[in-house]
Amino acid sequence: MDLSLDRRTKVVCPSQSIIKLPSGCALFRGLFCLTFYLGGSLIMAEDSPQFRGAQGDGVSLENDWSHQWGVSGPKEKWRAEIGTGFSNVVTSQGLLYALGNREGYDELCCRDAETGENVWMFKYASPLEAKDFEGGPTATPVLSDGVLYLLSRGGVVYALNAGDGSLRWQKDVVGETGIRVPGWGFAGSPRVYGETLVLNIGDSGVALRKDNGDIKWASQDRDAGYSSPVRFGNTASGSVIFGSGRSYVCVDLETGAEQWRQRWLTTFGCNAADAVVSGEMVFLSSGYSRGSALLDLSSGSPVIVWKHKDFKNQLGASVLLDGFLYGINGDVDSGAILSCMDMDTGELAWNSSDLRAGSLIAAGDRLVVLSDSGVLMVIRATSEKYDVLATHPVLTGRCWTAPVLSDGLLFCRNAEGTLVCLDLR
Amino acid sequence: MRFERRSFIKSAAFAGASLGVPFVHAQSKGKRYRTALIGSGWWGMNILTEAMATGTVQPVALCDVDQDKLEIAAEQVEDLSGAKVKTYTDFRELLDKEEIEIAIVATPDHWHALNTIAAIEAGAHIFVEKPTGHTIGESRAMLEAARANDRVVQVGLHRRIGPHYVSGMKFLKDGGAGDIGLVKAFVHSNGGAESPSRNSEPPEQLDWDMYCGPAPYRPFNRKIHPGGFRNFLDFANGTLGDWGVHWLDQILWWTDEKYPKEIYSTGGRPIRGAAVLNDQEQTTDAPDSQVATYQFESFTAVWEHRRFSGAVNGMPGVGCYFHGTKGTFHMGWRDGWTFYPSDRKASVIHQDAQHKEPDGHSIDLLWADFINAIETGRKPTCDVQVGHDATNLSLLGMLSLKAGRSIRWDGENEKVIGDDAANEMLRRPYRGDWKYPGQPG
Repeated sequence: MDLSLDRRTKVVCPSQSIIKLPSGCALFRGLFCLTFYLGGSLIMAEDSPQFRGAQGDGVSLENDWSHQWGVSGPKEKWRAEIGTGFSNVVTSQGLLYALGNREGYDELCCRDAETGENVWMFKYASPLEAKDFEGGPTATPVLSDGVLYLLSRGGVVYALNAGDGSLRWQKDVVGETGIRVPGWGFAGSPRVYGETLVLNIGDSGVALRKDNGDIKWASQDRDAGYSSPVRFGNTASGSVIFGSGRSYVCVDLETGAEQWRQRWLTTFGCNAADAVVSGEMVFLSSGYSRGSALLDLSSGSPVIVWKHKDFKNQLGASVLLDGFLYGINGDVDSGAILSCMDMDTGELAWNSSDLRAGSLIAAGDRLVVLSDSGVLMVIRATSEKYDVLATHPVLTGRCWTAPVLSDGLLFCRNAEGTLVCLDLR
Repeated sequence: MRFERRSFIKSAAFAGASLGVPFVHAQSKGKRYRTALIGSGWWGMNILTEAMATGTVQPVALCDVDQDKLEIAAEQVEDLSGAKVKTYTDFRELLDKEEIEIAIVATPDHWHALNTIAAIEAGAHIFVEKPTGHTIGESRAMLEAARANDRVVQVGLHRRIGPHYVSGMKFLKDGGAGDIGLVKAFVHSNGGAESPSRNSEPPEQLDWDMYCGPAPYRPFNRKIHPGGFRNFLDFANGTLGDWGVHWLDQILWWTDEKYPKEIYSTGGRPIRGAAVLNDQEQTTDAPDSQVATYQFESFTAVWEHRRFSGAVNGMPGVGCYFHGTKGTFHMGWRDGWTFYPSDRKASVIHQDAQHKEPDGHSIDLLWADFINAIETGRKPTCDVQVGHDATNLSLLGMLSLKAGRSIRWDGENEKVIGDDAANEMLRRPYRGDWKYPGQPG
């Protein structure tokens, strides 16, 4: 058993408390796992309260799940129609929150994660806006301290009590700031950092007070990109990186003041993949004729370590494991593949050959990939080779939304709004 | 000097290999045509990269009113070929400063005529995207400019050259479907109601005035650019003016008749809702659904599109049904062609599509045909006349829809019979200093 420990390791318990493990402490982790085992009822199970999971980086620490599902595929617990869209589900304490569009309304439903039974529903008027895709909501809600925050494609934020779906406050950010909506609407998922709700709206974001929705700061009226904010830096207040329409921009979380900017043009103003941060290194990648680069921010302003077009994350960001990036490489229309790349050097370790990939997460030592046509694949997370462990079709139609693993249940959705819950326990 | 055939092939193959280029690229006497791309967005770059892959092109200049698209495209050309190309935001400046032999025109529809005619007059052969014009008079002027200047104009109707279209058309012309009395062309996709989007200042990298060009000026809106011009009737002609040109062209390819004698179209925005355009906000204004009936001498053709309820279980979403005495033939896109015999005991006949992926086209074949036409003096497969005729079908459908009545068409003289108001709609006023091309109607 490899007990080496990743620097970023966190373990998230069902209660959502976060336990950080010290770096490099293999013995400690061994003891920790043992404690879990002896505890019997305790397992490594995570809530997924935001886009890209508990850590917000697409890497789940759940490893106690099985891909040994045989020819009949993973056990399907339930299946539901949640409306058109691309939002991920979020989960917390046995409940699940899913968002889709039906007949001119975005519907947020709260369901029992085990049964799929509806608990409550909240909806707001929002057009489908099927511009070159199926339309519907594209941002994923974020859950923080019992409040669920939603961002509509038109730029309205709703804060709901997660318990009963009652509205705490709403804010028409576009109406209030006059900031334009980008071509395909807002798609960056909201993030909560401390008491601040951060939104990818405008040139370099907008920040709201999470308790009442008051605007703390707003950026210039320029096109936002379609990626989600990412925390950067170790300063007390911290910084946030936004994928803007024509660049990636880092600003101070408290004031919105710009700290650095990397020009990053794409054919359609589509910076959709979140920046991937590792210490003072920042990895950027976009499709639409762009490519990838690794930036070194140790001097405070970006220095390009390497840059090329052999690896392009069009729709969603890569996951970083042990210095290797695993990501959907290429534009989906051109038959994107799964690739593994050494982040330090930009050298590709391998490319998949037989997969039209849509999206992925990492969970423990494996990758969970959903192809754009709904085939679920489990792939060993290793830079050595492309190693498929299991595969099974679980959905039809277009699947661009990454699977969500929470407490051994895997949630996959398609654009048309079919949500399936698979039991991987 | 006399070569044995075998040794000639060997030495030629060796020559190709030593240059590091595939032997098949050594067609067209090895000449590389100095080529400019006007409109360097996604599709324009798709054409240029396909053209570059044939080894017949030396890219020299790109033009776009969006600086970002221009910069990205120039970078992409350099990545592919090592060539540094000049970039321009005004096609007139490009044509003035650069010596070019071929211009690829891939701007929004309302620019096709002015771009194409200026490039022809600068001496270039043209590869232009369909439709050939935004109004019929523009398309006519493009045809006349090509003929007057003896330039080759290939229109991007790659469905006349893609392998399954060619074999399917042979099946039809050989009588495989019997006598055909009705053809239905269709394109369906999903969609729903539409809300207005707020207008905004144009992005700083975009020359919005030049984007609008000869079309009426309107406030910038994110629904238009990037990627939305086809849904705005000032800049394009909706689904019929886009997909319609491809599929209606299949009908003209099949029939010996040149044009219909009567056209009636109806449709609108029952699902998207009424179009909005004011200082504050706008919606698209193209119809979300439309039916156009074309009465030819010997058969009836119908166009139908829906931008809602696209997926009907198991039914093709795009293509042409040719209904004949022996059965129904479906000319499809990615689903190839299929013949469903009326005789239930007979077998269904099918051929898969063969395309250049990812985009499901045959631009490579169409480009090779274009170069061959330039070098041999023959007309290209999708000559400007072919493009003009197919474009006219779509524009006549739009004209009838806008006029709200049936029109009778004198195809020989390209006039609506007995309807002055409809004839006015064969052209449109241009904005500012832009001059409508060709002879006054």
